[in-house]
Amino acid sequence: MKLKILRLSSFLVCFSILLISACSRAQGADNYLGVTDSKILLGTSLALTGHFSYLAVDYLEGALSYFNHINDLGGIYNRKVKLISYNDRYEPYKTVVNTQKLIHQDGVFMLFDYFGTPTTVKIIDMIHETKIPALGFFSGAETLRTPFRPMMFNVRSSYYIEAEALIAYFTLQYDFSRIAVVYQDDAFGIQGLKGVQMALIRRNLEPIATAPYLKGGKDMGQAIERISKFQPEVVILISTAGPAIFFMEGMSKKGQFPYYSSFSVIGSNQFSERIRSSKLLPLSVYKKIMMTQVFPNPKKNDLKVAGEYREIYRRYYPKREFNYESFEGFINAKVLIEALKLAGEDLNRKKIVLALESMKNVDIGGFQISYGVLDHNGLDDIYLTQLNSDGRFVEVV
Amino acid sequence: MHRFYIRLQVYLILFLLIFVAINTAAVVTSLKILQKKRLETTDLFFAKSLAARVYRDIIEENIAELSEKIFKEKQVRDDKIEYIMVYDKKGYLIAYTYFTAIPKKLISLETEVASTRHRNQRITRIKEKGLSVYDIGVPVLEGVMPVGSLHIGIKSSYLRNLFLLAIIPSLVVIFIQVFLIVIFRENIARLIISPSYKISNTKRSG
Repeated sequence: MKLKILRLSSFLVCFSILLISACSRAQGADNYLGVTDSKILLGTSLALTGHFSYLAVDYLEGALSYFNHINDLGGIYNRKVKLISYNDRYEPYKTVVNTQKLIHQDGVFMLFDYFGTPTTVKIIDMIHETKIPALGFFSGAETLRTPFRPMMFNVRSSYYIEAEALIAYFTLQYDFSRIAVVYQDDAFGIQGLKGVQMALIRRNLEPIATAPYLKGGKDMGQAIERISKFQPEVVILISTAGPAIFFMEGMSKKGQFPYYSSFSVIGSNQFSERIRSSKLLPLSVYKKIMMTQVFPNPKKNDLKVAGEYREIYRRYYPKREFNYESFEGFINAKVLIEALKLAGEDLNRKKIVLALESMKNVDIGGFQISYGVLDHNGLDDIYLTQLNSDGRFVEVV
Repeated sequence: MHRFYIRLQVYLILFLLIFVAINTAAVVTSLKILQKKRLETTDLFFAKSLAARVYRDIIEENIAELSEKIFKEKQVRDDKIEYIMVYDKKGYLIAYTYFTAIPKKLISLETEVASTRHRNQRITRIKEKGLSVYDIGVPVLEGVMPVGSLHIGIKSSYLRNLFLLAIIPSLVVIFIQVFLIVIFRENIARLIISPSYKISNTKRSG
């Protein structure tokens, strides 16, 4: 009888051990998804066509140029980096569907280089639930940063920091207090508006007027009417290039020429081109048009990473112009490659998270990036730029 | 023996009454907690999401659009919502779903919450002739700045009906149990007594 009980117990113990090890292997298998001996599979969803495509395509190509360069050099531990990109046309639910596909059908190792605020905020819970690492978002939304998300890593600064820099500049440099805000009526606009409002509240101020507009912004009439009534000294434009131009032209028609400033995501090349081609925006207005940037000027000669970007980007995309968007994609890719090197040959999802968290003051060619166990925001730099008389943005601070 | 038998039946009934009272109190309390939780979660969330959809109409002073939105919301939830009212930043009522005059209590309620209206959410019980609601007041925010407030009256009768629907089956079961025990109290008492009676008889004869 005793022998039988002993046998039965040993059988149960062995069975439990096998079951536990099978389960942990299954979890381990998830951990190794998207990594083979020859390739590391990444996935992204961005607006490759439509309203924001002028920014997203450059952003993607910047990253691809650096991956191509690394792959041509032999890859990371003999593994080539492959980035699958799906088009979401800046439609939030398309982003969700694309991300489901990337995670569950394509089995990517991690998500990388996502684009936009209304789109990326929709996949936060999915990243959290599936425990897939995600690095680099073309958005400064606070929702992507607070509360702390263990699998999400931002490279660029937040909108709140951009807003703080702008308000600090206008209130200290010019002693302005009549500040108005025009914003796109979606998650992107609201996040930017909150940043501006909080920066003003810290100085016992509030916007003298606000005006939301619908995405696309073909009819900015209502916003112009609303804001012009208050004769602001500064108008903060949380928008894309098109609506910003319509708005500034409308204000000019009313004989009002306040300072304007927009956030980094507007796309400086497109913005400055459209200003130059506008007949309603005189040269005298140029010096009053500013914008924040979250990366240094990619055309800077004394910045190592900028030179590297120009050389590599020109090699793979010879017909494309240098701009902040492709530079951002390039830097995101560079940060990822550094982390992949640190994670070692036996790559898995846990190791890439640990590798990213271990990056402290890592030099990526002239400026440094840092993460920590409880700090997943890589950079907090802001560069203020102003339109010069040639109609090009140059750094002022 | 007979006295003990009668006493046992009385104790049984007393025990039953206490049991029923405690049970009923527990069910009622837990349902009241659930009702409060419902107001603080589902209904408050609904008020906040509606507030997030009307901020633009308030700042653009688009009262027609605003009214259409709140009437539509009331229409699809008519069994639940008594009223929806929207106030601007200065506390002026700019849109509401009443076809008739607004009950006086609601106007004074708005004055009461004026100091906190733009900052906090608030659930208030309003009970007077012809009006019995839970008033949910939330700020309407544009970014982080308040541009007005929104009030939704959740009908007490709606919550009471939900409450009764949930409580009635439990109460019916409890009362059936009580009824059966009262009917069969003699049998139960006999069932308890007979073994001890047998033991004491055996002891006495032994």
